[in-house]
Amino acid sequence: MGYVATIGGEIAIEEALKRLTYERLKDERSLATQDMIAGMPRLIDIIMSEASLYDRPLAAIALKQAQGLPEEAVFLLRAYRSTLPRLATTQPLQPSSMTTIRRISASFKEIPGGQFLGGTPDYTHRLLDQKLAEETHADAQKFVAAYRAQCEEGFDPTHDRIDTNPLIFPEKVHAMLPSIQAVKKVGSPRNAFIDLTREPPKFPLPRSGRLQLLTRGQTGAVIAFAYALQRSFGELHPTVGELRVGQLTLTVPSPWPDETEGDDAYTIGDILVTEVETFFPTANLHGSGEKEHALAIGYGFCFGQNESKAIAMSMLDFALRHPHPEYPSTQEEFVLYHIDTLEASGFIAHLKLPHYVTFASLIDTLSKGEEKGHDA
Amino acid sequence: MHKAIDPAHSVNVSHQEDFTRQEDFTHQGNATYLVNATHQVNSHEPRDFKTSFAYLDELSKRAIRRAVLKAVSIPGYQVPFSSRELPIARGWGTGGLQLTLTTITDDDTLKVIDQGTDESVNAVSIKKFITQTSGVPTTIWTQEATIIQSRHRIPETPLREDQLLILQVPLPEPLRRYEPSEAMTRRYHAEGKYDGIWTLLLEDIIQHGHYHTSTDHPVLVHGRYVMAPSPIPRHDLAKLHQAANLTLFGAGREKKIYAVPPYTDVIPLAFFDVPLEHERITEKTCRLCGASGVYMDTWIDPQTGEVSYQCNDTAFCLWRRNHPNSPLPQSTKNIPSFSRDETKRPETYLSFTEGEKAPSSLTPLVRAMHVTVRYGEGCAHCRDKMHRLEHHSCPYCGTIYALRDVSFDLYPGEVLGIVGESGSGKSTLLNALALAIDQKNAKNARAAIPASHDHPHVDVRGDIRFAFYHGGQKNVLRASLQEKRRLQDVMLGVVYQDATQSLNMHLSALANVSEKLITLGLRDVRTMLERSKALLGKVQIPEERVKQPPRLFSGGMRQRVQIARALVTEPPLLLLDEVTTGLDLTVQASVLDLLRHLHLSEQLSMIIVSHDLHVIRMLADRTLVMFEGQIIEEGMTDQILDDPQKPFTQKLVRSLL
Repeated sequence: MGYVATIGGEIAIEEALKRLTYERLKDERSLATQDMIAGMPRLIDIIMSEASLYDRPLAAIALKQAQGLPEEAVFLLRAYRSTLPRLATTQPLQPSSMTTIRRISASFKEIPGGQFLGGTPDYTHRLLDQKLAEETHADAQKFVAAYRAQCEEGFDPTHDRIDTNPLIFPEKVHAMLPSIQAVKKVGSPRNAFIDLTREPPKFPLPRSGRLQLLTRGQTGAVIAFAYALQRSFGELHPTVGELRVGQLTLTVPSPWPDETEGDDAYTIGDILVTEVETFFPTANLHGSGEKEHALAIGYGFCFGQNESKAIAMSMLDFALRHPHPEYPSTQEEFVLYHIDTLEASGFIAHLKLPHYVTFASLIDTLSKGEEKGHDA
Repeated sequence: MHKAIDPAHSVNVSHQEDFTRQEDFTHQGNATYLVNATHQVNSHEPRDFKTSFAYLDELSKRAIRRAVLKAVSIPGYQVPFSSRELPIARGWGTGGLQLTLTTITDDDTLKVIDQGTDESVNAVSIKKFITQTSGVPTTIWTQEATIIQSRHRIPETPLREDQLLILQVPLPEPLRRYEPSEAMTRRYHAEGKYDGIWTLLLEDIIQHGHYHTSTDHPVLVHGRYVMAPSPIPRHDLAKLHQAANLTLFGAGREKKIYAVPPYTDVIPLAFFDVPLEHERITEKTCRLCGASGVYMDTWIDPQTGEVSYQCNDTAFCLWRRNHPNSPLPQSTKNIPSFSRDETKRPETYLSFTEGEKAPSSLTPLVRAMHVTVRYGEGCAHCRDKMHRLEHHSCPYCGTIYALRDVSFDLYPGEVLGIVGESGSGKSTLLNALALAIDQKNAKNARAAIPASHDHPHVDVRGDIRFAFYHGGQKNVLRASLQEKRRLQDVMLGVVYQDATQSLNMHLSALANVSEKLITLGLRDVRTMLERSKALLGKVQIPEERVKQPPRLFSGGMRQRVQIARALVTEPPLLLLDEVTTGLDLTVQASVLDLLRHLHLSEQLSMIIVSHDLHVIRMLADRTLVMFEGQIIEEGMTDQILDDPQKPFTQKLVRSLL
């Protein structure tokens, strides 16, 4: 018979998998994915944004399987994405054609088309609403019916009636600027468009590459790096020119173009996005220390409604164009190499793997030092 | 294993189907493979989804295979690739796994090991994933496998030509410890500039008496690229050298693939007089199979607490126990090392010194002609040097002129002083001579222009010739970046006001000085340390402090270390920028004494920038006076200081009194 290999590892993994499923189901309740889509839209937004995959039902499944751990849910979606070929590229989006559900400016009170608060927790008092523990589907239906009725009637005589027509603001706030101050032009990303899910990143990256990595960056990391810029490791205090949240329609060109009919494109659906343009004071220095003031624009864009991330992204977009040796958040490689959810959490988690060989070699090196003393 | 034949759809994604031309995406065998996304014990129906053979879609595999071909063609070079996300976490072997998934075929037999063992949980998990998605059989026997994916070990059984070894790599960049920026390390590889990593190895020896790298000791692949062999122990390094098999390295998180093709030289970086040694654990004897000279795990008896050792390669050990007469592998006895010729600097390294004649005192060592440094494009007005500027800058286009049309000569053995008020362009002139102004090294631009300014455009124009660069026949401003760096490394000794500009504050003074000798091509620890210690003694750094980093030194000591570093390659030209500024008077005196002594004893040519006229009087034979980026007066130092002709110089000299 002879000696045989042990198979402890395999059995342990089998049992760990069973245990994992047990821990997800041990209260003998299963969360319906449609409830997750309905009740946790912002979390789903974050998952889709970090996964670079816009699909609410799949994101809900991922989140359910991950037992609510965002980094794990993003991981599942990204791995799933790797099994799919790239079939088509959408035509460029025009955020000015967005069907808006919210649009604000911190720069001007009066903006073309007006501000539109939409649904936001910004001005709520964050008092824990313990009644939500008792909320039922019937309560939900009642509220929705009442709200819709109010919308039909018009809820405030001093305001226009809220109607169900789509709110589209073709003019951006930045269009107001040239009459006031010079806007610094930023090189168009169109000329150097790269797709970092298909091509390896090579630093320094063109702006299109930076924006891609920022928009799929981990929400917490993007916000933290931008906050450092604002607080003390940078000198940034931007003004939000325009923040808009809404639906954009995606179209792809026909794979069978018909030359007689010109541009032939298919609509493949709508996505909810957040778009931010922030304004930064900057200056051109002329002779004898004279400065010409100007404004530069930072750009933020992400899947779903995630306003802090989009604003933070716009700050990092500006900061990476203005590198400063003292401020890490202005350094391209420092920011872009470290904000990816999968890469950061994966490499941290790998510390749990056995390091028996490497550690033994390390011990050998360390003990050699002790024996020989420190003579050069 | 869960092979399901579904020839109708090679790619089955319902909501994208409308836009697929299926025939573009056909792949191996038209088969799709099922992956159990949830575990069998789940009470729900298992949700299977279909994937290509070996998980990845064929277009992704093609992209990865192209990177592999490139890697094999350029041994040791890190090929960037678009790393796909896998169901295994980043840092858990996704690079190796992508290589396995893209190279594996139906005919292969797979072995997966993690830290030497087939049964490690991660090895089991990876193996299971590959077999589920490909149906390829597995083995634990090295000699049966055609593809071996491994983390941090090379099997003890020697590999054959028909076997492929795939190593998982956490950190592919061997220079990362020296230089954090990827853009910079890629440039260093392109130029073959590996002084940094040798310096770190030397610092290990200075501080610990031996290499402190443990695993992942850097290797030179076939005389060209320095490569991280992945965290394999030193014991395994010998197995890469002239191996019969192809080894592929995959770093998924860092998105790099590299390769050691069969029969390639792989030599660990080690100095001649300090050889790299095997881990001593390889000297032990296996308690199970009796092997020695292989990598061991420590085994502690749970009852008695007695320590013994067993083979880390568990399959190798098991085979030996079942085949007691099988011989031990022979190939791993010695770690290969360089012969002295191999590390000699290639003749081409300083090719630009060819044509150099013995410098005669009549040929200028440095000839600067019409040197202009400006921030901005300039315009018709300011490009004409006859037109006036307003305080450095053009009143029409705003271009700032840090230097405008500066010309001078320096003769061998001469000391040239440059004086002027702050902002007159003294340091810019010195930086231009030190070849330290360019778009990439915008340090000076930042100082001149607020940080919020968008990408300052720095433009260096004119003509600078060095007698030691193509015999003074070529303009050094037109030299390639690589040539400029070599001139800086070897031919130009530069001492800055701010020591952090030239010294690495975290390496010992000894390593800081010796780095220049490494650049020269020395690979002998004893010779290097002797020369560096002698020079540090000459600049009066106490011997007991040479192992300390300069960040622990006073300002005067830092300047003296800088001077030692600048002089150790015996450069023909020394450039000094405000070297005594900010030092107290007694320290100033000692630094100046040192410089004067060096000048007198070695006949060193120097250019010294200072706003301190005492320094200039003490050192300089001849002096230039600068004002708003231009030379307004020049002559013998005594004449300039005692009988200044221009009103500004008179004011400058008067202010001294």
